[in-house]
Amino acid sequence: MSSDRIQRHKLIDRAFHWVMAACLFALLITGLAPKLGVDFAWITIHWVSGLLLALIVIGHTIRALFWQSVKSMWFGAADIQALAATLRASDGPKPGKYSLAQRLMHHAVTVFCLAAIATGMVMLAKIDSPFWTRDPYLISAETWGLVYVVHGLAALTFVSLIVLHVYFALRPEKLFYLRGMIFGWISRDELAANHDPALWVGEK
Amino acid sequence: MDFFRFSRNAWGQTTLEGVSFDLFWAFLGAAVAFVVAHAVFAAIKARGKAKT
Repeated sequence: MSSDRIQRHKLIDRAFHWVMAACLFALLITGLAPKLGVDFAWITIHWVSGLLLALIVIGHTIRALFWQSVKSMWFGAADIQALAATLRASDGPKPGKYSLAQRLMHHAVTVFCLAAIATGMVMLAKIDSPFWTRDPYLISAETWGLVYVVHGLAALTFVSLIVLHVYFALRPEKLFYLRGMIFGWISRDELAANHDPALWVGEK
Repeated sequence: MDFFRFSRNAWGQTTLEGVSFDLFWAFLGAAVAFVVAHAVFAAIKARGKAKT
């Protein structure tokens, strides 16, 4: 990497991001299209994508806790000032590795992804697979209803989150983040203009 | 627009089935509305900055 470039995302983190994106698109298309009238054999694609998503999320969590800096994704008291500046549409203090919006998006994705995975794991009891036999009586009908409500709300929230994420990724002033997520780097000028290098916490 | 889906079981009791998928259009519409509002706001702000 040339000296005027800063590594923002390692290959393993970029791979996680794009595999997660592929899983989410597969899950949303196979989960929602049949409900909207487009019927096809969706169940196998859906649960296999869900299991793959769960596995890479576990991998990402381990990597984030032991190899990366949790602090770089933290939302603390100092961020209230940045949030107020954002709401006033003025320039607040420069962030570390991740902007306030990026951290809030990450936390929203974390909450709804974990909710979808946890309920999805329970829902696996309703299907037969080469690894287990279905048991639809695992929990009561009322509890199944709640499981489906949480799973459905998480899925619908992802529709909104993905629209917002893609919009901000494609905005002209944010395109360098997209390049960073594809090729891994941003320039020193982009770093200086958008981030505080002193607050940029890298790998452990 | 319904928020939830219900069904009746063999004993005639109402059972919660899940969230209503009519809400898909509400979630999609809310996100698109935010995108349009932000794009307009950002364009107005950029024009104001260019003038000053």
